[in-house]
Amino acid sequence: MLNHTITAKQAQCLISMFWLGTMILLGYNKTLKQDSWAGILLAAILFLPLLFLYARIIRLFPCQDFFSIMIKVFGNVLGKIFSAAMVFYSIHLGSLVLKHSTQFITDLNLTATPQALIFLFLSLIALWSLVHGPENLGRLSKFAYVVLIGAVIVTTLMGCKDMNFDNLKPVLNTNYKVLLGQSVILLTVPFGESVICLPFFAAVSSLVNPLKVFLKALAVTTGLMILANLRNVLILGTETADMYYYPAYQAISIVSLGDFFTRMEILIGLSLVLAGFFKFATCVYTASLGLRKIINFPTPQSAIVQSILVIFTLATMVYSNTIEMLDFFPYYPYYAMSFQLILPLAILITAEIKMRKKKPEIAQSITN
Amino acid sequence: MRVLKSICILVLVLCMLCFTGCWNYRELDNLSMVSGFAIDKGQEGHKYHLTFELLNLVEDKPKPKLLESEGDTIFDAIRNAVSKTQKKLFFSHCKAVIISKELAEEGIRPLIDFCLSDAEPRLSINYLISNEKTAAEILKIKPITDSLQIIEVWKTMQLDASQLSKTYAVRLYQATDMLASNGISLVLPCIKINKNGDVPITELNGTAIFKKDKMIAHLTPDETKTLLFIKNQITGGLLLVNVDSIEPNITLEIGDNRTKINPVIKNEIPSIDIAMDTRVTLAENTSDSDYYNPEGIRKVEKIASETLKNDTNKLIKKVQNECASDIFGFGDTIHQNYPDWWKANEKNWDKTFRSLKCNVSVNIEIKSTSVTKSYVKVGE
Repeated sequence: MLNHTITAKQAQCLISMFWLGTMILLGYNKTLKQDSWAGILLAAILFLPLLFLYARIIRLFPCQDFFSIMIKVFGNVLGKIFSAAMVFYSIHLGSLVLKHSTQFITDLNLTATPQALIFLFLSLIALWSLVHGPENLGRLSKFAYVVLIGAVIVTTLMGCKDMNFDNLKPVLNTNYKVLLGQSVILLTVPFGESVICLPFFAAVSSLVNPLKVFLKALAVTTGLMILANLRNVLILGTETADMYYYPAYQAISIVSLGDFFTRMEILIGLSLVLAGFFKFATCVYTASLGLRKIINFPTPQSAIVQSILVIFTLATMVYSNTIEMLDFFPYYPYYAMSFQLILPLAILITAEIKMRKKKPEIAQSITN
Repeated sequence: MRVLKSICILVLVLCMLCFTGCWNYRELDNLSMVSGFAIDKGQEGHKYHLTFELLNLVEDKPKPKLLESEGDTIFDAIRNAVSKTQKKLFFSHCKAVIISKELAEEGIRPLIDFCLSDAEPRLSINYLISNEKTAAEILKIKPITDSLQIIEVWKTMQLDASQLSKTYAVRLYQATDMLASNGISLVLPCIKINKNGDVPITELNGTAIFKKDKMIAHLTPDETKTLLFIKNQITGGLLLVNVDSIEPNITLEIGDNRTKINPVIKNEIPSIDIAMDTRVTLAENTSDSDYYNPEGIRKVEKIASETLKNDTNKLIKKVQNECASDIFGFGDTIHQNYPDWWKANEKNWDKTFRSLKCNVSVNIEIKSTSVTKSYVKVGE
């Protein structure tokens, strides 16, 4: 008998990996410079209300996926429209993640390999792990999580002798308005994106406290991101870190242990792409689940294949060069907030109102 | 089930063999490893003339080969080399780049962009300035112990920086950080050709001072040591002291050093406090007096501190008067400690630096006198 549930630990790892999937782009903040760490910390604190919101939704409808919740709360028509919006968001995010993980590989390591080929292999692995159920991804992430934490900690320790601690000064010299603005961007990328992880909680046992899962994941992720940011700035210095798309990779390329242990950057490359894969697969799963709810696909597998194909196609044209990839960031919060804040908030408010109005009916439908 | 399992394993092994690695596979024997290159002004109508030192991997013992190429940009010159060799140049193991003085004086910025933005060269490359007429001359010298000249230069530089402290081995990423910051100016190590008996040999030769990206002055190896003292980069080396004589007669071996730079702003006027705390060993005494007693030690310590203090003051004065380029990074320390003052006065830093007051205090402590407790006595 196969076990089809995701444990609390697996859910925590999955959310963490999902967040870290964007770490490729978040190794250094151009605006905050040496205060990047403060921006991340503030973003994590700003995320707390959203975290309570998501946890409350899961708590209200245990063992149900996000799309069924939407249809139940908003009715068949409105629910499906919102579901479609959510599907669009996951497909868009999925293609962005697929694109920048691949861009990272082709920019730095396999410069002559066509991107489509790397898309293909990442998609095939995602397909393979998802057709057997979402719990697969949970189990995989538990292993990958250890690799990623290990990579960040090992490279930071090894980088110690190349660090210049004066690079962090002046501490907290950024204008608080700028700091807040950047934190909001960091809140929407990556923390708020975890709204896409919500459908996974259908497979998580109702005994698990989602708040605890989210809080633990948030603590670990924030810690890792701050550590990685500090490492990059301390090794490279603000001006050099500013020049690169992937400062983490460049910082580690300097680090060596004696003459023998050099070129550790492949460790960073591997773990960043690994995290990117989990984020991509999560987006695929959410998109496929939504598609199934909207169009009534015969099997979950066919929905997964369809969404992978759509994401794959979109990824090939989502932007035309690397500079565009980062150009998008300042406008992203306005777009993302509608999915990350407004939609969940609407769900919660409507659900709470409905719950209070016709308590028995909702209670019955939940038990169904 | 067993059959299915073995098929599965076979497929996985096949996948590992076929689908890992890159699209354009490159065999080692089809690549020419570049250990380093020299950049000179072009001679045949192009802007740059590059001389690469290559490592031929086919033979048992790696033999250096020199390849010359011209182009209007660095990358252009590198690609043009393809028309002269059957193997593609490979830069992942490039250790150092030597730049001619002439080009350094015109501006170094166009010369470092390739190594920063291309995926192959590493950020830990060292740049050196040739004090000879061309940079290529340095590569043409026969190395003494290594088989590759660039590796010889590179290893010498690392050793010098840690044992002799008369060279500041700046790595590429540190150089770009210095170049971009307003509070510190770029310095790069220099190299020249000297004679070793009758055989020509390369020798590290102090430091080149830059203003913005143009080389404007040169520091001798001894001045470089003082510069390293100020920048808190001393890890070894010697201090020569003249006690009761005109010529140096006592040698102190530097154990460790700690320099603290503390900017002070009083009435909107900045000044810098430099405090050096150095531990040394009295390693050699060529004088005919005995300093191996508490009083003698104190005397040597005092004179050594005075000497280092004078050297430091002299260097700062020289840099302030002759090149007005903040190679010590005083501007950066002010930025780090007084960000508001820096923001208001950053634009005038060049002028401020010229008249900046520096208070140097040196504390040299003799920790031991090596294995002897007395000097060599000569009988009556």
